[in-house]
Amino acid sequence: VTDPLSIQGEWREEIPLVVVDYEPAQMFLPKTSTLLAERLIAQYKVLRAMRQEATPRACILWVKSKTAGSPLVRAIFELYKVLNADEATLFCAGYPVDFLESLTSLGLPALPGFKITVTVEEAIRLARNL
Amino acid sequence: MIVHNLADVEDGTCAVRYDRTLPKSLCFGEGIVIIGTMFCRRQTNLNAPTLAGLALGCFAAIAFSQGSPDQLNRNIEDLSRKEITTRVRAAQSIGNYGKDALPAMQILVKRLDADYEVWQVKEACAQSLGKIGPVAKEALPSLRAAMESRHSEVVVAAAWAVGEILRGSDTTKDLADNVAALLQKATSSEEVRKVAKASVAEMGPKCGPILLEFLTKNPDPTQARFAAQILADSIHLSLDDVVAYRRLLANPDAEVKTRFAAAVTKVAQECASAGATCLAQLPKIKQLELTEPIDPTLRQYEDGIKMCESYLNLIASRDGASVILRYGLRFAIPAELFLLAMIVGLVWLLFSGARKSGALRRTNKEAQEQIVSIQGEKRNLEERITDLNERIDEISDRKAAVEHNETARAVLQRFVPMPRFEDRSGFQIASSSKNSSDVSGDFHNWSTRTDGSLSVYLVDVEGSGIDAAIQATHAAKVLERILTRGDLKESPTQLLADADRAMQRELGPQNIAVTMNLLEIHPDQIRLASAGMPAPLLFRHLQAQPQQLLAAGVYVGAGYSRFRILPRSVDANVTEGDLLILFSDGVLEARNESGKIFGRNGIETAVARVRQADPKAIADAILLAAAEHAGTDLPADDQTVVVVRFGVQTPVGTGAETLVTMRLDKKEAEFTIINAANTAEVCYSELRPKITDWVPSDRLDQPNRIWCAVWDGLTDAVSHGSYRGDIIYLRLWKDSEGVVVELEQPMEWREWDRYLGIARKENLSVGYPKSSNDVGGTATLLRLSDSITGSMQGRLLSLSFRYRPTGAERDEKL
Repeated sequence: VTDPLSIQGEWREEIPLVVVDYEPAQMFLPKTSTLLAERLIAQYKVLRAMRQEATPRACILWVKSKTAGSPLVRAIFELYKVLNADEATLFCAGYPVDFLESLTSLGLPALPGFKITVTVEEAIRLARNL
Repeated sequence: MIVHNLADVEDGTCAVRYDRTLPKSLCFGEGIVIIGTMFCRRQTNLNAPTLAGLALGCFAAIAFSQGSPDQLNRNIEDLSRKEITTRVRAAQSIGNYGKDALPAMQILVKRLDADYEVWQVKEACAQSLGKIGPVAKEALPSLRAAMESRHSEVVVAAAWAVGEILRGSDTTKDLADNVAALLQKATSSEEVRKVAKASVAEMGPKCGPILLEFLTKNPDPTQARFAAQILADSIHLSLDDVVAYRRLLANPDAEVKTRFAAAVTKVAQECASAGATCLAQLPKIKQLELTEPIDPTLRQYEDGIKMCESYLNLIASRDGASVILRYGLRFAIPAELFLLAMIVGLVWLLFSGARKSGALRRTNKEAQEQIVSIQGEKRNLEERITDLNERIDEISDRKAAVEHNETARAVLQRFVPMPRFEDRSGFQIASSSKNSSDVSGDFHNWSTRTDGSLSVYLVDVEGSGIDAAIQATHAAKVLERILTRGDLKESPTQLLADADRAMQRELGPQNIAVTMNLLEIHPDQIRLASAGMPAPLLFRHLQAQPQQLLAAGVYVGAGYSRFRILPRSVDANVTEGDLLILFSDGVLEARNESGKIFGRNGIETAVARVRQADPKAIADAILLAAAEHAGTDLPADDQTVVVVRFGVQTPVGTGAETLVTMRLDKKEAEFTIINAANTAEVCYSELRPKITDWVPSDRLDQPNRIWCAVWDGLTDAVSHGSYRGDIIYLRLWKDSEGVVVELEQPMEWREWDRYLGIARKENLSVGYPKSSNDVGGTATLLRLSDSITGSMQGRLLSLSFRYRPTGAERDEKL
């Protein structure tokens, strides 16, 4: 990963897909939480702006990194709030299983309009069925 | 000449009076004192004529007193006067004439022999006879008789006089009689014994065989011990003498035996110190070896003799090579001479050939110039040869010195133990040392005490060469026996006093200074006793400025009992992460070219660079820094550093890279993590599997729960609670209720309660998060753990995770 916080986005099968990747050290940096939230939201807004005809019903966040932690959880929650305002569902795919306890303990999977999937394909399938 | 009052001198009106009874040397001395005093006090009211007058007065007085036979005669007459003070004064004055007072010997002896004479006069007479010196041998019987006086003053004076009269005497009969008389003073007071001992010593080496012979005749035990003490302390014995009387090593009296052994060891050491010139004596030294069974009280003697033998054998083994080198080098000189001869011969041939052939005829002047030129060349070559010779001698001497020291060091290292790194529960200890170009005696060791603590000593024996090495070895063996024995339970101060007594008792008076630091180390406390060694430095956890541990004390072997003082110890509590540095003065006093010492600052700087390293690396780094400061790898004095780190094993690292060290057992797990660029990566790849394996997954709801809490705790500790290079400690243990996780970071977090306290936990939304306040690191910790407490101003967080009840437990509860 050349960019310490790699955020990319694309429309895949009519679903906006935000891909995030970073080195483990990013989770131990104080500013990662804010930076990550800003950039995820920005990327989503860019994707949304690309298709102005309709507000997307869902968005997929694909976490490619092998580590997670509170900075990512907080960023996901901030992204969720934006999507929730759009009445769209946030699919979180590929969240590192070794860190899943943090996410679940905070109750994020119980949020309305928030789903966790293992793979991106599964997230796309579920999103298309909405 | 008497100066009544120095104020008179200051006024410049000093009255100078010549006293005929005073010796000329005293007159001269007082004259100098008067003039010196005046100059020193910078009297401005003294004019030149006053000074000149005083000086002239002094020298006139000296001149007047020169060789005054009349005065001697008057003193002799005064010896028969009625007044005691006159007689005493006369007797004292006579002595000041030295050997010139020989005419007064008879009257002095007479007064000495007279039964009715008062002791003060007898004392003065004895002293004067001593001052007359060797020419007063006829007075010896009277002096021996005076030694039986009931007045110790007379005995002391007579004993002293005997020594003075027989100083360096060759007459065995005189020596034997008087030595016997002096030895009878063995039971007298300490002062008399001291003077008697000094007198025998004054008589010179000829007394050695007399004392040895005396010892073989089974004399009175007290006298025998006294004789043995004189032999060991004051007499220079020859190797032949000790070999001839070696049967004394089996003397039934232990003190006689050990003192004789000390004297023999001294002789052998001197022989070994003489090096190659003494190789021929090696067979004689071999004769001094004890035959089986070895007497345990002579263990030190046996070691000493073997060491001398080892040393001479080593020299012998190198001697062949040395000879080859020396003569090989010298072989270059004839080659130069040969070259010179060739040049002269060639020139001569050319010169004569040219003259004979007539083809190259030169004038006489040219020939002479050539001869002068050749002679000049010859002189240059001769000078060069001389230079080369000097250089060869210099190189040979230097080589011999280096070989000497290498040999001495080899001998020392063979006998002195070197400790190894030790990792104990609660602390680690390691050391590093560097030998100087000369041989001196830094040595150190540690051993376990009966209560499980560690006793550490660091000793520095000041001295150089084989003598210092041998002394250091003896000292080491004495200290090793006392300080590293299996049942060690005395305090460091008691041990120091024990060592002091043992060194005095077993090694006798030494020409060496032994300094030492003695330490008792517990995981939470240290106790230090010092004997002149530099004060150790205690670096507190997370503090850059060290604390000096000051414990006053005198040199070991100098005698705490003699100085009537007790060593003082200093105690200090220690905690995890504290670092203790002990070092010898060779480290502290390492100097650079401009003479600046390495000092405490140098040590502190070196420690700061490698503070997180293991003790061995820290010790090495200090010695390396001292070498860099001095600009040489070869220190002027031995350098030793001992480092003790308290707490769990500390990782090696500088902050550039992290390194997680672990200590795992069934109940407990401890991890030390350095804050570095790759901490997260290493924690994920190395720490996570260890924790998830260690956690009892069958009794916790979510196996990864503890790992996730640890990860979020580490996120806070790395990003907010520490800087790069700092250490974060992580401890986990199991108890009956569940698992406890402790995270310790170096920086305080005084507001921990606001984020992790009960109030925050209660305010967290139930179910899913409602606001940003409900997510994040602290919220995660509160959600994952069952309870959290903080201590040490928020540096230490304890998270507990309760077990879920087993099926049987649930049934029982129902």
